Amino acid sequence: MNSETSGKESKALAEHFFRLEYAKIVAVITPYFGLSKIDLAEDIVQDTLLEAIHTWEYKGIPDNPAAWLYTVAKNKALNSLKRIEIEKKYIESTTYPLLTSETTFSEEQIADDQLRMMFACCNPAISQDAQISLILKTLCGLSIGEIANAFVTSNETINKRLVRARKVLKDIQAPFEIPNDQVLEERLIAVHKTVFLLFNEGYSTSKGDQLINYELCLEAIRLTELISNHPKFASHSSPHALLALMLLNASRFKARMADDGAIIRMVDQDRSLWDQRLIGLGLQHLGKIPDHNEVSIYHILATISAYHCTSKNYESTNWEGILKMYDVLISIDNSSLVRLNRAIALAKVEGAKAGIKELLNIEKTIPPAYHLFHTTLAELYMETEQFDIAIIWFQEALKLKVSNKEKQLITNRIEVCSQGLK
Amino acid sequence: MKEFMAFIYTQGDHMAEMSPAEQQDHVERVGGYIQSLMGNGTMKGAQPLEMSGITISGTKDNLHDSPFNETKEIIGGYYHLVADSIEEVADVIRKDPRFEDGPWKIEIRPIRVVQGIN
Repeated sequence: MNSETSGKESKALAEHFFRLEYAKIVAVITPYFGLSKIDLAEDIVQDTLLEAIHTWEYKGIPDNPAAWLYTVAKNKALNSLKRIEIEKKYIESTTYPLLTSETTFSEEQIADDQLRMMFACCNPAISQDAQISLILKTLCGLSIGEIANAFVTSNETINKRLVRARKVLKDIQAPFEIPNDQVLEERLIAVHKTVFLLFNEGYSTSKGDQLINYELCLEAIRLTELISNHPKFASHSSPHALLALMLLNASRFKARMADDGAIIRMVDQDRSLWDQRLIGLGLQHLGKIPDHNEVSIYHILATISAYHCTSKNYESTNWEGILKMYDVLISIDNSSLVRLNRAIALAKVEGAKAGIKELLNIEKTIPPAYHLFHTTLAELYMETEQFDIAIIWFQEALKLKVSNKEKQLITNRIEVCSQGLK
Repeated sequence: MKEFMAFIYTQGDHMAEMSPAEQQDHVERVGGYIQSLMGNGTMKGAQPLEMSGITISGTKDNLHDSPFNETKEIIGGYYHLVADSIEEVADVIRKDPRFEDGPWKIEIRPIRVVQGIN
């Protein structure tokens, strides 16, 4: 009889405890087996969580649940090393410290290994989509089903993608390490790019479940925090810049959509819904960016986002500051999207007519299916009260591939135009 | 007050299919359920059982050990409960949150008491 458990208060687990610990333990266990056996490490951790379920649901959560998981995972890993008889070969071949029952995992090692895992997942040898899937599976502890949901695709597709990615890592004998200084900057850029894509995957209003999407944004933020907090990257500006950008953008997440799922344009957003905590954190990281001569795209975008986040309303936004930022950005990234956004700022500073003129100038460089060009132009025509031309551009946008939510937004705007014509 | 044993049968380990987030949710809900029953005195004990073991069978002179037969349905744990009636226990068991996470079977058996002896 386990009378000692009766009366003992069950401890609550921290939010996302299982998911985060899953990712951390995968990261610390993997190097003992080698990155080529990452799936074996994942199996061991999955087994460990199952063991925890079976024990904890009956006996309550132990005082130090994380330590419990690490001990069980370590023992399972040891058993596994023995069972598959790779132990002998392992001792002969490994350059990594031997795993023994005395091994302890320090907070530093866990943080280091998660960073190594991040660089391993963002290996340029695998596709960007596969990199994101691998990160979500091993570093964020999402199930295949949850990843499939986020990408609005089938479990099978994600599974194939993961199997292929792991095989590539194995075939090229990808190292499990933070790259050396020669290639560090280059690889860091690749990691940033993937993490930012992950963030935008979540931030996009066009698809998927909003709750899951918000989780993706928070995961991207957490992963970037791992980088920016690490001493190795203390003097790097890009991790803080990217983190600031994501925090500031994420602060507006919940204000961008109405209860019925309709998209709310920034001008119409209820700014009291903007998350002040995230804004504060974002500004903090913006301030932590070391002074360098080189300015990253993330730094500029974060500054623009900060201008938005700190103004009381849309009209009092520091559009001149934003326009200046776009002028700098355009010198690094002369893409259509940047020029389009610059035209919006220009219209705010010099008037809608100037914006229209600029947009018509760049019309030929805009990819044909880019509906934001059409809707932005239409909005500017609305400002100049040329409602008939605005309607034409909105209708052009509707001919393109747009999500149902966007369709609804555009249709509403056409309705407003028709009112204006009367 | 009468005492009861509730045997918890699982059919395969469907919890392995759940994501870590769902697994945590399961632990918290089922764990909370058990803890609250412990707290109000309805439950005297609850233990998980390993999915392996041995079986001893035969008669004294002809005993043999055999591996525990892993069948499709297997007892994965038990609850030891106290209540006025089996109906009351059944009501408690119906509220077990594990039923929300997949197919389970819980068998409730009153502990036999011979009147005037126990």
